[in-house]
Amino acid sequence: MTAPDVNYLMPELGVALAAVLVFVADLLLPSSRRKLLGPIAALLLLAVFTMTFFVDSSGSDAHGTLFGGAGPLYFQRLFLGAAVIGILGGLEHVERQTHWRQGEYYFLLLCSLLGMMILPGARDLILLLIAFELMGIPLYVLAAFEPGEKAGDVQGKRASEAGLKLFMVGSASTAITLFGLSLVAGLAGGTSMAALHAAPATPLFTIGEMFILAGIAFKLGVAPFHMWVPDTYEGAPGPFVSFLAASPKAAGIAALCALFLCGFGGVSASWQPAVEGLALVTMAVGSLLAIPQHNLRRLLAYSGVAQVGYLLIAFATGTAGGVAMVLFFAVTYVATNAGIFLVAHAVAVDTGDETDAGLKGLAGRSPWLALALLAFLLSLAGIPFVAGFWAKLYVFLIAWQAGLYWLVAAGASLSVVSLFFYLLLARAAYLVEPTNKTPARVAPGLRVAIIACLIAVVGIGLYPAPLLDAAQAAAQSFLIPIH
Amino acid sequence: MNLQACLLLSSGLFCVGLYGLLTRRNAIGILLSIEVMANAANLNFVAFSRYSGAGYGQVFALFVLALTVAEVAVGLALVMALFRSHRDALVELASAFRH
Amino acid sequence: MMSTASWALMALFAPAAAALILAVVAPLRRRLIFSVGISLLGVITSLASAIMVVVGYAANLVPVELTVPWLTSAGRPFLDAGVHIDGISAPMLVVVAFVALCVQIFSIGYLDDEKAPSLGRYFAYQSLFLFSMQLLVLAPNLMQLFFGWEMVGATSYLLIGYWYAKPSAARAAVKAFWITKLADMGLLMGLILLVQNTGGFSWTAHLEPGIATAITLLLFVAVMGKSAQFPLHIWLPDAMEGPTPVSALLHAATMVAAGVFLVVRADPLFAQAPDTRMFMAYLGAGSALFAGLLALVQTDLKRVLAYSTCSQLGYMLAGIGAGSATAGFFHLTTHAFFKALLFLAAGAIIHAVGSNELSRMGGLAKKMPMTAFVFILGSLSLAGVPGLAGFFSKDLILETVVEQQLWLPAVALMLTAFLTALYMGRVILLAFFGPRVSEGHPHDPHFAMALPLLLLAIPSLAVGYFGHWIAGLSGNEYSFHITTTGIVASSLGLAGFGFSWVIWRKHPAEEPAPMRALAAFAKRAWVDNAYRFIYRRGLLLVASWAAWVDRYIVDALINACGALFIGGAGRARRIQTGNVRDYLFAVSLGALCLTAWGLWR
Repeated sequence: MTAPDVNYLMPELGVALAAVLVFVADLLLPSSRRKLLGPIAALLLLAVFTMTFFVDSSGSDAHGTLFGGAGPLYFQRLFLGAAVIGILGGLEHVERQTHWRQGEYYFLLLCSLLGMMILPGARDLILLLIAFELMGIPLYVLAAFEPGEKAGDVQGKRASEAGLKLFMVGSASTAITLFGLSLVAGLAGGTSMAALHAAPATPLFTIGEMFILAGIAFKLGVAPFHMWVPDTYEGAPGPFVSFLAASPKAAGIAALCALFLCGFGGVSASWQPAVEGLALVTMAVGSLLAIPQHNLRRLLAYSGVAQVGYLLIAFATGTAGGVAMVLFFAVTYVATNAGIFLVAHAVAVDTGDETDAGLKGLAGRSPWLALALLAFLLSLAGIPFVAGFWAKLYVFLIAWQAGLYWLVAAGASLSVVSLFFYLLLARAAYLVEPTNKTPARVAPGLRVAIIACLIAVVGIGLYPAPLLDAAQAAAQSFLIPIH
Repeated sequence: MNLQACLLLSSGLFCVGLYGLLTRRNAIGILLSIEVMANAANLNFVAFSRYSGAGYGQVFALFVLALTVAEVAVGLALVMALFRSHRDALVELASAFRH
Repeated sequence: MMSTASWALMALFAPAAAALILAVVAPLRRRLIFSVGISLLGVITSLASAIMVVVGYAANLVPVELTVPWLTSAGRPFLDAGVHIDGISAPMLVVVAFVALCVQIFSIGYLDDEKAPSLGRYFAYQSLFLFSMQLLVLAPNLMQLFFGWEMVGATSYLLIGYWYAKPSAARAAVKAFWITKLADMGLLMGLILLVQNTGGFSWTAHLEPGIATAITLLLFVAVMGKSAQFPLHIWLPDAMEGPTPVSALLHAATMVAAGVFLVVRADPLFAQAPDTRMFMAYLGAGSALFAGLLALVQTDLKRVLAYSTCSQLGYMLAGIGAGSATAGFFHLTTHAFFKALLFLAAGAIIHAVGSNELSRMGGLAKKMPMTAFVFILGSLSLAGVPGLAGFFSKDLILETVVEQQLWLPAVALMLTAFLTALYMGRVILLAFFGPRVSEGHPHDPHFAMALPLLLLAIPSLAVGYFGHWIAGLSGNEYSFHITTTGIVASSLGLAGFGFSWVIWRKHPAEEPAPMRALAAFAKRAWVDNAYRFIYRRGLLLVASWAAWVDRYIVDALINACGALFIGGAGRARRIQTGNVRDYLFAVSLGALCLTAWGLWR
């Protein structure tokens, strides 16, 4: 391999190097200095993030296996940003709860991130599968990452249940995906996307596609593969949930784009109805089941499920505009959900109450935290002028143009239903008198992370044009035919 | 033995795994069933590879083996955590979060 | 050397930064010195940059536009945000910043007995208002203008309701807000029509004649609301409940002038709709006369000035309706200075006397000679006495109207010129001369209030002589020459003053018989009453039916749906059993259904 070939791989290599550095630093640092590991990891990732603006974005490839270019870079920047926010948001929690194993936590997080970084550019089934699992397996461990060494410990019970549910559903989905992959690769006579693209659409091929779709649907939390989502979010460590709820879903979208647009783009008629059906079921399940929830993370988990439903509407169009809107939606989704889960975590840490009752009178106690919450809620509800508004508007517009009228109608009515529980949360924060006036204590790292999300959500809301342009450019790299 | 027969065999193996997945109550049993399903996929890879003459299927199968090993290692650790915190490996014990 | 566009950006964002700092950093807001300092710094920067913009623009007279794409539609730019500098926005920028500066300085003295935290709020609002106004003035398209327009409306609500504990102020703020919002619907609908027909928000678009009339009429509805034209003028007198400096800034010089500014700005659109222009000329002249009559019988000093503002805005619109945007804009500029001067002088009087009522004033000329001098100067300028600012701009409007042979508006405007002098003469005689009735020891204001009065007095005197320069900025010719129209108008103005002297010289408290009749007839209540009648008999009746339908049919349906959803969801959540084996079952079933669905389609 000559030097220019490596250039576009720099972000992936950077993350791998960062993971190794954190691992080594963990071994070298005395235990009193281990709290530096988080900032080190965040700084390294920021450096990689900066580097993404200097790499070759022309779209070179390594023998058809891994592509660079605008699309993968778009996703990589998103993952890096989300990972930095996730690390910053969890600095204090990780140090307090799992002081001895901090290095492990960050190393696993970076490994998962490395898997995500490879995913959007992967154009070969083997690489795609490895990246997908590299992302997934560390998450199983991280979900169970709480101090629960003693038998019968409550926190240990919660964390092991969260991890187990994620693992069980995840590995069953992987097995189903593997079977699908074996059928698809066998019928196409190769593992490259080019081979898949050339394969004829036989019924057996369609079965394979559907099995693969089921595996990605698990990662995206699409109903009926979503059932781990609320349980895991409720039990896993708070700041980790803000990472889990954002990045892996975006990575799932990247995998969906890489596989179904580059690989199965030629036989889109075979999977579009299935995606439409999934979108409908997901929106309905997410919006309706969120209504009776009182645990904040559980409620937000269902709301996240519903959001992915909206995203699938745009994906079901299969047009260039639709894909661009999927990418645009992914960014607003990550910024909003990472932010709101961090706010929920901050409130839970401060009040010790994980239900919506903890939000009562938040505006009177911490106006800025309440304002951030309000911005994220408005973004989820799709109200101008925050990021979620444009995302929802453009998704509905593009789906309407593509003729998916019934999906748009269902999505619009379900988003009215979802207004109900979003506004209830806003009401609790703003219209209920606080019982005590002491301002909420928010740790500095968490505060920086929330502010970063807030800036992203409001910034995109006020000035969406640059992100739209970037999304449109990125969508092209998933749509150009591969030979 | 032709390709169809191999595919039928692997589908049967997959269904056996699926049946185990749905009926086992013990976490170890579920893990084993998932392994059976993954191996059904492996059988497919190898069979397709054998009958088309290309080597990609065998490579894929090797990678799948490695991946499932990693997955099972993590899975067994989680089962251990379950066993420690709940004094048993029955999965329905871990149902504090619901509705 | 900064470019003209960067100066414009500075003029726009300096007050925004001041407002943001005051809003975000609470400790700064609580200390008077910081809140005043930051706010003044913002407005002075804005004024200095605005002057640089005019200087830069006047050097080569080429319009400058700096925009960034804000929204895209299907990959194409759809809506830009930025600044547009031409012969209209550049001078307006200076006028707005200059008046805002004077008003803010004046406020320091006027509101000296307010508590520091609430003054911090006041100055944050002032800075926000200035930003909104500059956003409107610099808009490169009608949509950004609309954003500025709405922000101006919202900040005006905050400023009128500054004394929110006072019920009448709170009510006036709400009234102003609702009436202007009602009118703004016109602007919004006009913009929607415009974008439907042209695919953009440009004011230079070419339109079909019918569409042009429809769009411009809709825009004009919003102008009527903002610029307080009959019959949407009723909010302006009530808005006098706010602090007097606020009235000077919003209800004399800048915000109400935004309506006129929109018409000047969208002149290429209005030029395609002669019918709308005709309507504008007649309505403007009618409003001018009507408000002039009402101003004559007010007993509250600020209300006289408020009606006078309605009347003068009518003048501007009549001039623009007659086809000369330059005339309207020229009068807008001169009026901004002398009316702000009048309001601030009135503020000084109110501050000294402690009341708005004319009956509580009298003989103030001896006690407050400086205030009396600038007030009389402003009045003379307003009444169009030859040589002062108001004379030149008013003369240009009248000439245009006469030239176009719009005889009815011309007569109405002539009568208004007479009335203007009459009611200003009345106010001067009642407040400054006549027997002394005012209590306490009124005296000329101290430095912070005196300085802005003197600052404003200069342009009230002199800005009329810069007419050809202001017209030249937008590429128009204007030179003053004496015409019959001018002579008639100024004689009418002088006659008005003479008349007022005859009537009110001896017995200021006693109103002559025709005045009493006019007062009884034209108590502004009847327009309010008409609204109240329409509201009670029409809207409320319809509303009560609608309420019935809403309560017993729509609500019932929604409640039923809500109960269904909540009940259904309450049951459906049981699916989530908590047992991971059921989740595995769901995954398997899901994969099976997906495959079946995929194969079947």
